[in-house]
Amino acid sequence: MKGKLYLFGIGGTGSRVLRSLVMLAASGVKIEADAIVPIVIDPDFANADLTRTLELIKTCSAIRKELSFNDKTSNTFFAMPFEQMVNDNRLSLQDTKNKKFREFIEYSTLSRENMALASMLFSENNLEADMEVGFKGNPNIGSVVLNQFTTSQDFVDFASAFKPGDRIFIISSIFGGTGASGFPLLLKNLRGLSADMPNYASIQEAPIGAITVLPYFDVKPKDEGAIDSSTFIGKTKAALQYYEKNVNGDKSSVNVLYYVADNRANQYDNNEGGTEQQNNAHMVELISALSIVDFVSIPDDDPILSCTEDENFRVYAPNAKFREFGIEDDVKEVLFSNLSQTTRDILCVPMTQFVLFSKYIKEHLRGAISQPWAVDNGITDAFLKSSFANNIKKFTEAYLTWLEEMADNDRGFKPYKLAVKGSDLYSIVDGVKPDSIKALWAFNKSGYDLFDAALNDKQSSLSKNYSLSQKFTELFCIVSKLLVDKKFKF
Amino acid sequence: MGYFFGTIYSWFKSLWCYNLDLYLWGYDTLAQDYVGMNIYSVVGLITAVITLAIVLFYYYIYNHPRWCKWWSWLITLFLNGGITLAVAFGITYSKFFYGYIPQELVYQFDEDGNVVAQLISSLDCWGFGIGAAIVSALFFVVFTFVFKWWSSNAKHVPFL
Repeated sequence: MKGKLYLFGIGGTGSRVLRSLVMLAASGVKIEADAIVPIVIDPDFANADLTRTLELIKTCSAIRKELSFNDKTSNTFFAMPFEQMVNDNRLSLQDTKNKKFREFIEYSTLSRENMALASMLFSENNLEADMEVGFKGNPNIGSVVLNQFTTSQDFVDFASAFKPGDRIFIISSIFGGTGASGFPLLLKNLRGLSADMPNYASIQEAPIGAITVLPYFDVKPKDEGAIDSSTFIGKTKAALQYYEKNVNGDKSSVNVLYYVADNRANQYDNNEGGTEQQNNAHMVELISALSIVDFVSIPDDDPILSCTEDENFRVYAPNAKFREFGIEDDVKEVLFSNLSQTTRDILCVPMTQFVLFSKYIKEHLRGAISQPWAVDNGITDAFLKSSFANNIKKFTEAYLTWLEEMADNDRGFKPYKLAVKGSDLYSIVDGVKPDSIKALWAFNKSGYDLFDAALNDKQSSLSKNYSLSQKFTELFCIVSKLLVDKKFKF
Repeated sequence: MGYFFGTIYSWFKSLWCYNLDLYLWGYDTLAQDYVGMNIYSVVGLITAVITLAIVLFYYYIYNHPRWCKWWSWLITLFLNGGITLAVAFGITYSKFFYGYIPQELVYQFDEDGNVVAQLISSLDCWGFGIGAAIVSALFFVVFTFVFKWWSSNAKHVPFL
């Protein structure tokens, strides 16, 4: 696609899928968009999943700012720009801080009849719910509180920035509160955008993709907890019925709707939100991020992306598609070999490149600054202490942590043996036997020695005009690609 | 070439005796002239070839990012010296042992033809071997600075 992708991540799942997308994009997975503009919608400002993702985007953007990309550069690491359009990439929601739902709807000022109606629609617990930690699995609250998108200045800014050719993607879960209610509301507001909004026609008819994440984890039972995972399936069924009538029925509002779920469900700690809500990364989030990769790869002239108006001037997608994801084998720990060849083609090379890069940074870089590739290019101790190098270290550590979390989860995504050291480095891809490299520069070398030998051999191809940061990432990308291509047959 | 190598080895000729030096230059006692084989050029050529091969091996085949350091370069230099010492000693000692060196150069005879002194001994062969090792070290340094620049991993060895 030619244009930007405006990516709305709703609720905790939105942030976690966005985290996976940042990891994929940074590692060089091909995402065919000019830029990604993440916009997170979550009233839970302190949600650790959210803050961790936003911090990651900041780090990634800080790294990318130091790099340039053009026809002459080979680097694919950090190539995808993440643009910040709204403050801190969050769509601000009014009146949710330090407020109970009862206060938000101004319950005490309602007429007696309306008060009775509100009491029918919302339980006492609903009315007493604190807005600051999200909607805790209550879409009925979310559908009221979130129905304020279009009044937000951030939303007006989004509308002003939107151009024909740009696309929109919405990430949400269906079994909670924020995502389940926010997705149809946002979609309704986008397709039926008021004519007094800037670029309203472009937005109304924009290609919109969405992923609806069905239950893929449980939470531990808690006596006084507002979140009860035994209700997840019931809520999902109810929401799917609602979506069928209002989102993706005969006249679907979305051009492509992706569904993903897993019947293996790990039990997470029952945290209602805030700084305690930091769930380990899960393969389902990675797959959800792949749906975004798939959506942007649809050619601009594909009929799937066309929109039209019905007799009531309601915009809909006449050729909407609904897509799911499957793995080859139903296994507890998923390796690359359990994925389809199409998925392997997308993931294996860039992810393995970035894993090797991350491990080198973590385990070997400090001792390698006497190598010719470092000395000749001015990579010194001072460079290693620079903000660029610190951001690289921070990001690559986060990348390894993300992989470890996915490996530890159930179902686990465990394509790498991350603990391998030294000469075993290239046995890192589980289930893939590394080939030997038949080249003079690779003679009698293994592990990081082979990595250094390749860096030393390829450094002569770098342009002298590159900045230090550019040389560093360019060289590591070229060499990790060379090693992955020579060592692994995916 | 014989003159070139002979001159270089002669810098260290104090390590072996004058008569061995004469023989190595190719001095023929019958012809009373330097018409024999110039052993300096033979040993010099072998030393140069061995040293070149070791330098090329070190910089382009071994060429190891972890082990190519100043100390491994020094070890290789000594190893090369040891090999050329053995070659130079082997060549001269075999000539000495099997009697290829003219008796007039090896021994001093009285008027009756009796040996009164031995002028060349195995110690002189060792001395020449050590001299050859030193010369090989010089070659090693020269070849190092000719060839190291294009080595990917060892271009900064022994120093930048």
